[in-house]
Amino acid sequence: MSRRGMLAQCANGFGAVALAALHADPAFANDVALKSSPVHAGHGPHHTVRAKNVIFLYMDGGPSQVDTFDPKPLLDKNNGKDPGDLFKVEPTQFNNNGNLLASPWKFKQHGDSGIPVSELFPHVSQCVDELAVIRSMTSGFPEHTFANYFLHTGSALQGRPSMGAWVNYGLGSECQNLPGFVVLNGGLIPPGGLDCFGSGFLPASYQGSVFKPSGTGVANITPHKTTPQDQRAKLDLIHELDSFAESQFGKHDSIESAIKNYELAYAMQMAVPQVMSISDEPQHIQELYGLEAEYEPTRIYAAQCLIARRMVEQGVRFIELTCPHVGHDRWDQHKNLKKGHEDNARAVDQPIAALLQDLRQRGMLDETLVVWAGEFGRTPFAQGDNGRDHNQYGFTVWMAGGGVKPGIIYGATDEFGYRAIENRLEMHDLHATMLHLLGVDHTRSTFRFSGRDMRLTDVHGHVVKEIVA
Amino acid sequence: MGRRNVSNVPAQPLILLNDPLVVELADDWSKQAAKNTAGTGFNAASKRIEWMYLSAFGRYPTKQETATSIAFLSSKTSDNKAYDFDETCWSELAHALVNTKEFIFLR
Repeated sequence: MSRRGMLAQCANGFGAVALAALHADPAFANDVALKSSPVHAGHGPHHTVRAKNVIFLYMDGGPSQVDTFDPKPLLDKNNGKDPGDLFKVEPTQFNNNGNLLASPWKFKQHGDSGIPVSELFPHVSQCVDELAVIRSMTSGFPEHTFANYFLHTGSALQGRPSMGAWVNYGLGSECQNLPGFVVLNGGLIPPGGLDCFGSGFLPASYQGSVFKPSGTGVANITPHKTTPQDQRAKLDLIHELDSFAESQFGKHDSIESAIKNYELAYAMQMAVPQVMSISDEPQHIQELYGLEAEYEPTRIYAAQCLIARRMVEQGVRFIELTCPHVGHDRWDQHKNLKKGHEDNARAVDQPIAALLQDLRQRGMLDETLVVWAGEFGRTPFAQGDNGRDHNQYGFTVWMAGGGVKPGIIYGATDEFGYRAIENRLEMHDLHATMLHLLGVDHTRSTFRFSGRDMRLTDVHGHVVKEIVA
Repeated sequence: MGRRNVSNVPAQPLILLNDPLVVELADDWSKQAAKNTAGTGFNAASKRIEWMYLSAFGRYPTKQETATSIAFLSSKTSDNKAYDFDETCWSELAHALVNTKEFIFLR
């Protein structure tokens, strides 16, 4: 044996130790545990399904509630005053707290519902009658990474399953040739990274697949120097050889998932180019979304929103959209609030409004839940003189479609927009309500891990019945 | 907690199935196999499969694996009686082997 060969063999030997350790984990290798682990099908709906699909519009960085959907006249009146004279100010992340800062944008009431929206969203404001605006959301964490894990997984710890993974675990995928959980990445990956879209302790096949909203969407989707027949024959050979090796490997979640991923990858070679071909859409639809907008980030987000609609049509269960890069910062304006929020709003406003209108026109909005949320809000007082720091004590998110009561405002912050004081919601309540609309009882959607029946909502969460139509 | 979950999404099989580099390297590997195990006929083909298994997995193939591989190679050619499979057949087999779970997962 060559020295090189010897080293390779030894390395495999060390690998065997690692695999043996995995096998020893009772949640994974133990046959009984594997049989009871629902790799193939989840528990299915517990009650009436209001929403079949979710489009999660993740507003990376934390948009300011008092500058978007939660107007505060007292903030204008007390602009420039020391907030400490008016209410108790908690320490903030940078703790460079300045004076109260009035919103640079004017608010106007819109639609039949009269929901006020700031000038930042001239297009979304035309759709307010579809929205349930929740002004009393809170988070437990004032820092991006923790808050992102909390928003996405219901836990601030790294490594828990993301909402999209939970939903697919519970309900299964409706789609054989696309992943059930897709992240359409506009450019920004949230602090906390891809673990925001992970499957955690759930079977690995529930993990989010990251797509680009341009070109082929996924790398290597085009077969190289082969025909579909040859490729199929090759896959069949791989499966056959794998089935011999299974007796040596034993069954393992990662390997089972990898085998499923091969079949999915094969099917995706046809399905992905189809779902990505937004240039097939009629001209008026392309214009509606903003595919021809002057501002490049708008064009990117327009493609994301349009692809999301096309994915819903194909049965993709959970689609998350991350924000495009606007050249400086995400919705995280520690300074230059005016320019930063204007650019971020400009990127997403027209595409979001188009998505809502398009889903409505096609009769899809009733069964598609659209959720708009950042990981926290921002302080009503300045950081420095023209920014706002993180604020987890009260901020706005909104939901639309999918069994949500349209044209309502739920909950309220105090008169400065600092803390939620009426119908205060926790992240777990948002998750419980999303699952409820999908037909899932959040207390009964569990997965046994580490000796516990784990839930997206842990031991918390209340369904907000008031926003359910 | 404590379990670290590796990335496990369809993007990985797509790389191993379709990335030109992977396809080219598998092709090169099959040519190397041919160089190391010259000859034609059933025995030479079996020897080459054996060489590939040793090179990829550090073990000999089982009888079942050899038979399955030969059957695959035969299906790729109209004249399979002489077991004189052409380069393309071997390249396809090589590409399949690097896509097996045994190649992908340490064991």
